[in-house]
Amino acid sequence: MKRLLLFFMCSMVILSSLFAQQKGDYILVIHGGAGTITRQNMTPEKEAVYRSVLQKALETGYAVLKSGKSSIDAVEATIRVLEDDPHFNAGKGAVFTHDGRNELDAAIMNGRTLAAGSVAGVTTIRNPISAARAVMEKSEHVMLIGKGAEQFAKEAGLQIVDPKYFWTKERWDGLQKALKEDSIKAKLDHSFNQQTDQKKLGIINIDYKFGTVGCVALDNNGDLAAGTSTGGMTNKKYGRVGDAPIIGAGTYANNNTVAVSCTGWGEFYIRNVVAHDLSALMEYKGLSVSEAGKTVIEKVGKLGGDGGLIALDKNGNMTMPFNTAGMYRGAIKKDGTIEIYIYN
Amino acid sequence: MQTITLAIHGGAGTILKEDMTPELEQAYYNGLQEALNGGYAVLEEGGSAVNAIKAAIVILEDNMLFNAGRGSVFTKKGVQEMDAAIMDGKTLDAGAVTGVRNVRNPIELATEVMRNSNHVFLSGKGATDFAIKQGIKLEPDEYFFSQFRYDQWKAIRDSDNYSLDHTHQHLEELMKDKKFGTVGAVALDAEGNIAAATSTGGMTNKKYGRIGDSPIIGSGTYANNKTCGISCTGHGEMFIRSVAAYDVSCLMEYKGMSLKDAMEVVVNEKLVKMGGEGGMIGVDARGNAVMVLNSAGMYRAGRSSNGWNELAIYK
Repeated sequence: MKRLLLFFMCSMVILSSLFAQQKGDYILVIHGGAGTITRQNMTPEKEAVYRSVLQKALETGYAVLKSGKSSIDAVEATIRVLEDDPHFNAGKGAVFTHDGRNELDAAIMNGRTLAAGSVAGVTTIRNPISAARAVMEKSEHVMLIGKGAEQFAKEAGLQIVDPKYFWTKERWDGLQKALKEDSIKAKLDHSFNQQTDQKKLGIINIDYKFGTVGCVALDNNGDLAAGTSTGGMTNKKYGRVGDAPIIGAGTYANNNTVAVSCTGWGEFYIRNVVAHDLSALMEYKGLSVSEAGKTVIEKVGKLGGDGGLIALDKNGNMTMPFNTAGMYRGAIKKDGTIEIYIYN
Repeated sequence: MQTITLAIHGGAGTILKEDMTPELEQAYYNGLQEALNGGYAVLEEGGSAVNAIKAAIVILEDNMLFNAGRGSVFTKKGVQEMDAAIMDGKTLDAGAVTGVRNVRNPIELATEVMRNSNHVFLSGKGATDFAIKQGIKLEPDEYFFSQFRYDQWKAIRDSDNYSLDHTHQHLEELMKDKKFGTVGAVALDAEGNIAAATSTGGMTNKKYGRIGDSPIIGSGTYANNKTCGISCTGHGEMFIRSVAAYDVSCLMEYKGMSLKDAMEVVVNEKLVKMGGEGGMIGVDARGNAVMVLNSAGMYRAGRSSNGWNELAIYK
């Protein structure tokens, strides 16, 4: 009987490890923002553009990983593609603040060393994700903001551009609409959430576009990395900082567990310390990456927030949960298989 | 009857008895005691944990001895930029500000962000604009000026050194007899609600608009009625990377650890391993308060209706 039990237990172990290995094929996952992304608001042409940019970003990161470079290299390269593309609310194509400026935030974290870097409120750095990396690798600090961050980026040799570089007509029109609609309350760029407290949110957002970009990657050495980059909220005021540049809230990576990048209504992600929470649920409670991802998004929803996230664990399992109508997202496996999704 | 508890800190670092004069030591004890009494009175009158910690921190901010509000350290440019955060453990509401100037009590502004804005985290001039709009009290530059902090700044202005809170690695000569610090408070009120808050003037000679852990929800400040309230002080970068305050909460909620065990793991294992010097104070839902430090000292004080009383500086 004892021997039978032992045999049974052994085969369970073998079976479950096989199963985990089959699932663990992912090496890079991206998002291009979550929000009210519905088929009704999309044309086939527009959808094709979004898909092609997501594909290009995935392929770029994949090539970096396949060449044997680190997950940090892959995350930076992938996010640069999304920052340079005007369709996403990060880098070029970022939304405008109340004052008509593009203020950009970004963060990156190395899961092996727990080193991290982030910048907030920068207006002249072409690729904020590269500035975040420079903060991580070339400064004694983790988080730099505003003019000081720009000065650091310049000294670190990053490409500085005229703020006009970030200007796009679509985003500018978005600001004008927002200003007309409500000059007092800022709106979440991508959300059209009628269930949320109108008084707190302001008027429903008529701007159906979406934002924040992020990437998580697992390299040949088994090192995880996460990065996030955003232009924040349309019509934001008072130097508002969202979750994207906050380590633990919008961005987190730890080789013991998982790499996470979030997108959505940043205030709720800060209050829930979402990215670190996902990691803690795995490490301390033994949840799988998908169970933990589902749990943290439910917690955001419970507080009245919405959005999504991408998470890739140390074994190559991934999850891309969200509680909005859609989230631009995609993943690539070790063998190069690509998956891209937009809607729910 | 529900236990009420308040704990406060005035910063951690290389605070050594041999570097201290009896007069200065007494001044720190008095400053801590005054802030503790001010905050605890709010709790005794049935006030909320949020109001109690705010009252305690306002007293610490107004005290020149501590590196927050009046008496903040100078940045590379010779200006004072302050950070603060507050969190309500009942609702998980939070407010934080970074890089604000001329705001008399940054903790008041953080509370205003929490209560009366759509946002959690405001920065720089925008945060000051919000303060003006909301009628938060401002003061001219001279108000914040402290000869001691200014001399400290001038002496290292042209070097690339910067000094932490209280660590005198680069500054042994200069800081021989005087120490520095972030301030913080955590409380449990008669309704069973927990709150945490932190306020700081940051690092002397900080450059590049550096943000430390104090205003970062989850890193330097966190509160949740389910678990604990935490306020941190020390080498901010390490506290950010380890998401220190929220990690304590996670260890309690997901792993079933006590407040004390969880704080020990974060401060004396994880942070030590990273080279992160500092400490934190915490309170749990039953009114237990814990103060853990891995540095030589931390200005700290606390009181609880369960009989706990503490006033200490050294390890």
